[in-house]
Amino acid sequence: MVALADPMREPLYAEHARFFDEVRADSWRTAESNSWFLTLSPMTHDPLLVSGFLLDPTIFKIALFYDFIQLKFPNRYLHVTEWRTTFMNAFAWLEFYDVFAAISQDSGDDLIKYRNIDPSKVYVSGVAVRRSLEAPEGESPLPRSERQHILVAGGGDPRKNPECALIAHARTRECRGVPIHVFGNYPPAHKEGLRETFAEAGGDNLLLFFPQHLGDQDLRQLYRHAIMTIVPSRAEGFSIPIIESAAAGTPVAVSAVGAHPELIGEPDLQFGPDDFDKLSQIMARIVGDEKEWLSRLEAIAPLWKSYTTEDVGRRFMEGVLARQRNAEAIKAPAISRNLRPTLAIITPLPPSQSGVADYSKATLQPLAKYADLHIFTDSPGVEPTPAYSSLAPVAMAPYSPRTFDQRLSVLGNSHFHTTAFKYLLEHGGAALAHDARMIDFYFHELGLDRALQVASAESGRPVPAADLVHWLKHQRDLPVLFLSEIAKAAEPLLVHSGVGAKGIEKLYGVQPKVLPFAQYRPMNLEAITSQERRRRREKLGWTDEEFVITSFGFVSPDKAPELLIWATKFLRTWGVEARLVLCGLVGEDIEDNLHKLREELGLKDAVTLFSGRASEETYMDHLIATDAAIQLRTYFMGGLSGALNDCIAGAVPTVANEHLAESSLAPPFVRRVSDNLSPLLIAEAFLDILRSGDHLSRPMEQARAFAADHSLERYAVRMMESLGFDVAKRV
Amino acid sequence: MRPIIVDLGEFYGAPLRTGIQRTVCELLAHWPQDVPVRFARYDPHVDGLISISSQALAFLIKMFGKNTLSPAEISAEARMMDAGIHSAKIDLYPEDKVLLPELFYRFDRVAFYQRAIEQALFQPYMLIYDFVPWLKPDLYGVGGNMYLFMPYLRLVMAATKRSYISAAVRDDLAKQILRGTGDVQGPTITLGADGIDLEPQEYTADRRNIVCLGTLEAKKFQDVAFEAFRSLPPDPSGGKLQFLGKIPSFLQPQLAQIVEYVGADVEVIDNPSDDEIRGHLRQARASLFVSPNEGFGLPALETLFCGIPTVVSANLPSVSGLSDEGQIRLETVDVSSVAAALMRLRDEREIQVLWSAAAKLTLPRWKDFAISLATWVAKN
Repeated sequence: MVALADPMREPLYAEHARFFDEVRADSWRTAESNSWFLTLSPMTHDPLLVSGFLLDPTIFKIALFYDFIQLKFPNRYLHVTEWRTTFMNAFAWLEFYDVFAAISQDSGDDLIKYRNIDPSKVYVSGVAVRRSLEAPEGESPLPRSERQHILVAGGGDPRKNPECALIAHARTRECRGVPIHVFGNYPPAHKEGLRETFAEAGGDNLLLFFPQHLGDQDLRQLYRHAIMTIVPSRAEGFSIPIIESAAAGTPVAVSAVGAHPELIGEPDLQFGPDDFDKLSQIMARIVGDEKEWLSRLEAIAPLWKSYTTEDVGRRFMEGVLARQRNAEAIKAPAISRNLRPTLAIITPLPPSQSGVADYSKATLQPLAKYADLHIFTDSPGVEPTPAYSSLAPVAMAPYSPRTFDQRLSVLGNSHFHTTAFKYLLEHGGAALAHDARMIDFYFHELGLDRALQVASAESGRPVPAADLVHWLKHQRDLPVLFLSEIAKAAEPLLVHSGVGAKGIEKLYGVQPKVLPFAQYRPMNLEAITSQERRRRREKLGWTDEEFVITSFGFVSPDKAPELLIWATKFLRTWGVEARLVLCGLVGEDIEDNLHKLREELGLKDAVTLFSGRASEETYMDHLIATDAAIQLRTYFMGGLSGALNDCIAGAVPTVANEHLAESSLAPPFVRRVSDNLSPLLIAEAFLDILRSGDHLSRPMEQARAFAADHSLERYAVRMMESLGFDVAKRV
Repeated sequence: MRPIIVDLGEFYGAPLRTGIQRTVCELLAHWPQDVPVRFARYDPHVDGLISISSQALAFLIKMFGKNTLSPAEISAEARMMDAGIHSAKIDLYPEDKVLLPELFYRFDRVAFYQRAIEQALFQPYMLIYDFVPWLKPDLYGVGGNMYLFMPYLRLVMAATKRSYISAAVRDDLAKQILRGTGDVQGPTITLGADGIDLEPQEYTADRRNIVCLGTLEAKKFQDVAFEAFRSLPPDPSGGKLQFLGKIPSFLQPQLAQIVEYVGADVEVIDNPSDDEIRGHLRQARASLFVSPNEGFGLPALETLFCGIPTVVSANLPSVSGLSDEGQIRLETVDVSSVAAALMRLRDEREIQVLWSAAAKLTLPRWKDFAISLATWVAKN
């Protein structure tokens, strides 16, 4: 038995969780065909969260059903548009259930009448009295002489109608001097109102009591010591106080509404909800005549025995089993019938200016060979392509009428992934975590409080805001990755770096699947001839004598740009006509410092800084024309670099720090420098490139071998396998 | 002759008893009387040098090596002594000579001297200790903070007057940093070996402990020493391995095992005073200084000066140029080579030979160092 809990609510209480083999918070179906799906209250919870189950014809869907009281009192329960919408939404989704265990015949009849449910799907299971309210073995009801009060089943909802009982009590001579207890949670103003009603009817407020916050033992004693219980409600699908009173050995009078006549069949114990006089007569008989009282007691005594936990449970199961034989036995879905899987992909896409968006677009193309891809994105202006079976906003993902074999949320450390993140946490499914840490996302998109909450949970200690601010600026010092919520919600979790996967497993006990990063920028290595490189160098204004080093991508402190400028200084000091190009938009937080350092070291003409994002054409010009490249990361969480990927694809002799190179599984022509970055050693690495001549004739064979193993096609196959689909069987 | 001005900013502002500050302290204590000198410190408020009073200086020298006050308290006390004395910015002229016997990274202080060189405002004279942070950054764990250290290196490269504590350091500058693009001329001025101020030691058979002097840091390979010692059978005579040095606030993982070890055969004495060091050396059988990553390696030399044999890395600059008497030199430093050396030290015959040989060594003194350095500045 698996419990599906709404992640937006409190966790399941331990006393309830113990009934289940597993408790999950993802609403994505991973149930096998012919499983049962049971909803305990289909009119209460959002059916869209579980639409995946409801729409699956191979799953047997059962609902407990209580009532349509809202329809009977629309002015009270449906006068607010939102309430009406919520009700009608749940009302509509009832269609998808296979069987209804109604709590009473009356509620079952309403289901058939108002919702046009096939009567064969409906049966009555009832409601069980709690064990703690059952009569212990051998206990006899208390004698009339030991009972002092009348008990009224109340409650904050006006339909409970305790006023009827109070007025009737006030008008009944036999009830003079008899206390009347109205149980239920009443705010003070409501109690005052009832006292006024009672007093106006002639009642003595000294006899009126409102017992509250009763434990089961106190409640049972309240029933047991009552002369009678009155249930004056205007509408009830069942009325558990009737059974509780019976279990305590106390006669009951009921309003003649809803399921009441099913439980108390005697007409002379029934009254209209506003028929004070009829109720007064009933009260006069039962309170005033001991023989009458005893007779009613004997009549009601056995009632509760049909509503024990065991009996109700047995009726429930028998009803379900009887109807399950009629359910259509449908084979397993598309996968087992060797059809193309249907995937929902939640991701940013171009024109969103994000490396992940570019990557998704490139990798979805070959993926479409193996699956139908239904894209959910909040990137505006996305152009449809034949690879996308459909394109819709992320908000539509939970409501899609399609049944998806898997859903994949593509996540990264930026605002582009906010809706995908929220989707994952609410609905589960697979997730592809592009970034090794999510601190910026949490802080900027979800706010300081949430960031601190997650940081504290992951650290196992309260994390002050000062620590968080420090980590934002010095991400090398991050002790945690801010991936706990993703790791918990995702099934499976996919990452691109084996180093990162180890970190996640160590921190969160979750073993991600590693999907080596694909080379997604097509590089025609054959076209990178000496002539083409010269042509592009001329276009960029570089001389033949210059040894150009390029670093690609957004320029931020964690890529150590200052140290690159120092390394350039060393090279020039050593007689190398080095030029450094930072081919990417320079972050505002470091722009001034870089300009200043460049000036101070006399490198204004030797260090090129971009004032805006590099266009694709400019990027490719640099990739082809440059003599060498360098990509660094000052934090070590297994993060990857799309730029390093491009350098490898272009067979550019590159320098990278060890951690980044290993995370990327970089080939040998990527020279490693220590993670403790030293411009001297970086400059020495470039000297090594110069001496080897790699900058003149690029290591094409190595690059080709790497490309073959990291092709988009290979990535697509690995992706499908990671998601649980055996592509080989279909190819 | 104009007095040589000695900038003691770090010694004055943060007397942490590092190896470099020990050198500075010895320089002050042994400055030749016939070389005029004035002691000062860089003050960012005036972007220049201001004098340190002789009273404050005497206090700093007196408190160095004692643990009675914290470095911050010592510095505060020195400032209090100077507070009552009007210290104007020292006017500097092209003929003035300013000696920089310290390593410092403050951007403004570095920029002050960089300007001096570029504009010939006065002549800085630098004493260069080593280039380990730039050439072997893993040993320092600089992380992403290397940009803080670069201006100082640039200053060294721009300097025209440099002296070095060893030929190895000069070689590093020549071969790996300047690479033939600049002049590395300048004297090698060997550090003194007599800083411990311990009477000459003599061997007795009850000397059982092996002493490792120096701050606990990864580059000193103290974890290798620890593991080597632990790999041996226990010394029947109860000899211990003792680490005498500061335990830094951030301890690298491989060194944490030493501090956390609870056995009686290994001891860590945190931030020992000079008296405590002398006390332990009086019972030492030998010293162990196996770091292969030192700009100099003064502790090895100092224990030899006291007559105590030592185990060292063969490429330790402080012993290059010396005969190998009284030393076990390791070509490679790993657990097995250090363990083998420790076993040799347990052999009675061998240890006596080592003690005899150590007693014959002639080693440099701080007085010689101070005279050489002061004379170099005065005459160049």
